[in-house]
Amino acid sequence: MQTLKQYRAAEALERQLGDPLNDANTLSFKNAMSWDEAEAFPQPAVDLLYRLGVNHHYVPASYGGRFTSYEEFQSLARSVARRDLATAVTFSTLVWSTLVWVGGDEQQKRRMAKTLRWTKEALCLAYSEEHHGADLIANECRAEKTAQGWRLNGEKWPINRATRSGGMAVLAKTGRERDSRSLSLFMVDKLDLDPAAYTNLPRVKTYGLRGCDISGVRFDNCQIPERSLIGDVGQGLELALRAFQVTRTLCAGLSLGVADTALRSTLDFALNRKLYGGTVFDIPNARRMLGEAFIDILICDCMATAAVRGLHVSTEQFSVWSAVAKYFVPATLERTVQELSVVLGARHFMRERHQHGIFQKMLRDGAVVGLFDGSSQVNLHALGLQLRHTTKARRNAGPDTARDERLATIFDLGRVLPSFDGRRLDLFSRGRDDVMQGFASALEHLHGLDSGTEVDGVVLGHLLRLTDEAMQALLALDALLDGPQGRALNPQSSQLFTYAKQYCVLHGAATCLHMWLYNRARLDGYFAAGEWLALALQRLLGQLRPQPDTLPNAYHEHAAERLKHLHDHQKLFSIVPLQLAPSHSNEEEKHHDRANTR
Amino acid sequence: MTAQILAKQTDPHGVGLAQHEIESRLTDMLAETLRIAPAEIDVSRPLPHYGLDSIDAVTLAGDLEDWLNVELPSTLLWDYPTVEGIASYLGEALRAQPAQTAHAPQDSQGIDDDLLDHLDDLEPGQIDALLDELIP
Ligand SMILES: Cc1cc2nc3c(=O)[nH]c(=O)nc-3n(C[C@H](O)[C@H](O)[C@H](O)COP(=O)(O)OP(=O)(O)OC[C@H]3O[C@@H](n4cnc5c(N)ncnc54)[C@H](O)[C@@H]3O)c2cc1C
Repeated sequence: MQTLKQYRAAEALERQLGDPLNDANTLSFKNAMSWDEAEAFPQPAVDLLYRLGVNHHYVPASYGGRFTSYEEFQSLARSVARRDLATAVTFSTLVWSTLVWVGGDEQQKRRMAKTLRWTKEALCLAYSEEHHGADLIANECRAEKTAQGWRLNGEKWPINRATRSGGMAVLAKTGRERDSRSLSLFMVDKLDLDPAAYTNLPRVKTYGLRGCDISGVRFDNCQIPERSLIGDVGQGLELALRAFQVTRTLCAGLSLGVADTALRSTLDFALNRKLYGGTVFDIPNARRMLGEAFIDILICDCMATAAVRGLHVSTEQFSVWSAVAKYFVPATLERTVQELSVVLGARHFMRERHQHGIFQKMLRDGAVVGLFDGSSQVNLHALGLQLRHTTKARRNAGPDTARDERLATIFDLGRVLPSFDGRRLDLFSRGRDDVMQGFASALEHLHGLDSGTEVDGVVLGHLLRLTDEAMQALLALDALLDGPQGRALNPQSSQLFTYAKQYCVLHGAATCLHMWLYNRARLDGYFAAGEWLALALQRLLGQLRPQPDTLPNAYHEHAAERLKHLHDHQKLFSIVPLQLAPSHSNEEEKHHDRANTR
Repeated sequence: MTAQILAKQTDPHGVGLAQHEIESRLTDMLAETLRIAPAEIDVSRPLPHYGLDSIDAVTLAGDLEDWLNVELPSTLLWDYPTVEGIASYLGEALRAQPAQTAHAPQDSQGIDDDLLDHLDDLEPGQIDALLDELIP
């Protein structure tokens, strides 16, 4: 099967970065571990990514860059993240250019394109302050208007790449206390600054991402030019929240990279570790747990892929969708990796030996994704507040051909995406959520499938039962939200957080179903057979309430076999299993195979 | 920002409501969100003083949309942070919106040719809104 066009760049990057198990490669597990141990900035890896031109993917084609879609973009980030999250998080601060692409003027966009394409000047996002995290309005760092531009005073901390960056996106107070229009956003170029007017704050020692430059900055009457202001005075919070809708969505790719390595590394161990006259993989429960981790990854893969495609199509809905993706994917995969540690056993606790101890590093590094860029709590809160509206909008939504068309564009992976238009990002989706509004029609579609010819009758039976349960759960949630009790919920009520989590789970179920329906004919036989979908739905429903395992054991076995197959052929654990960097021995095998078939 | 309603709605509610009626309804909605008595809300006091945070304010704009059956800017309550301010914005926007003049701001093609032919019949508020839309 030919690789989908949008994944070719990632396959090329895979070949260029090489096998992370080969110690000679720059982005090898060995190097990633030694930077981590030494708390050293991953400079060689960053240099390599620049040499390979990955920076050009942060610039839209209209400004001379190589950005085509967030789907392609995310697949590149995932390739880096599966090798070293510290490198991925360090390099990907370039994504803060989103603020300029979304809110900047022509001049600022041209300047940003030039910086990203032709210099190695990195960016950082300077929002947080020591005394104010998620509560941005409470920020104290202030910008005052001067004759030449603005004057900054205050501190930003903890900031990834604060010290090692050329540009800083600074959110600063320009207005009254708790006014939502009291913040403005500045893209500060350090070259414009008087070196005496700002100080880098010392690096913080961290639990994970130990090689990263997590530091801060202090401004003392620091003069910045007028052209630093992005958008209008008072537009800071609005721009920040709109750009977060993009970057929060992209966080899913980082978690997927981490989970891929955690599973691959554990599987490697399980396949080779001999005990009781067999291997760990031969132990039914170990195999089951590996298979379940694989299904978790497929669920999150569907969600991440749909979301990055959705950014191009249903852009206005991302106050809902980005919160779902940012909460669900990191939270789910963090748990998945935790569970895998049980299979890896003693080695999960070691900072050396099995694959240089990469598992524990992934476990530590991965824990940051659910925390930065808007924590799980912040996203659940933002989502919870919108649930009454999504319920209502879904109730009022009838058949809608425009929505069907959007869903087809998002989910059919063979369709070309329209170019992304950041102006369409909106702080409020007005209850719209195509994935969920299209759930009922996806169920109809499922009911219309021909049992036996189009899909195995038993599989279809399970899918009908499980999706029906998901729909019942959604209706029950709607009834809770829309009933007198739901309407009386305080915006800070912890009940709302629970409902938001449930909504994410059901969003995951609907997403997997759409993905399957639209790509059964496009992707491979394992995907088309639908057993994975039944496993995924059962696993998701299990998060709502305890479920007996009602699926044939063969489905679990096939999942484990599929996993092993992807592992043996160096394919990504994904519904689109793109070709990873080949290992040397496997390269030889392939030549051998080819010679034999000739 | 000129008072305007973003999307075409066939049936906006609340047209013809008096300013004080809008204010009193708004006060009730806020009181409900903030869990305080309506009497505690001073129509000229900025809402953040009552603990309404930025995201709550966006959601509340959504509640207003539901009530009036119109589409409003999501940041309406950021730009008009008092009950009085919101009510006067809404009053003006609703008056400027006898059905066919509602419009989406970014979409100048969306303006009815019909409407351009009848410029003379428009009220000042409508003309302002139209100009706003044509001149970026
Ligand atoms: C490795 C690392 C890198 C970072 N990089 C950056 C960076 O590059 N730029 C940057 O600006 N910041 C960065 N941060 C800061 C990070 O984004 C902050 O952690 C975040 O702003 C939250 O702040 P806080 O944890 O201090 O908690 P606070 O915001 O003070 O919150 C404390 C707790 O209150 C609860 N809470 C907060 N808000 C809500 C809510 N709305 N609903 C319910 N509960 C809530 C949560 O449980 C939260 O943990 C980084 C942090 C780390 C660890």
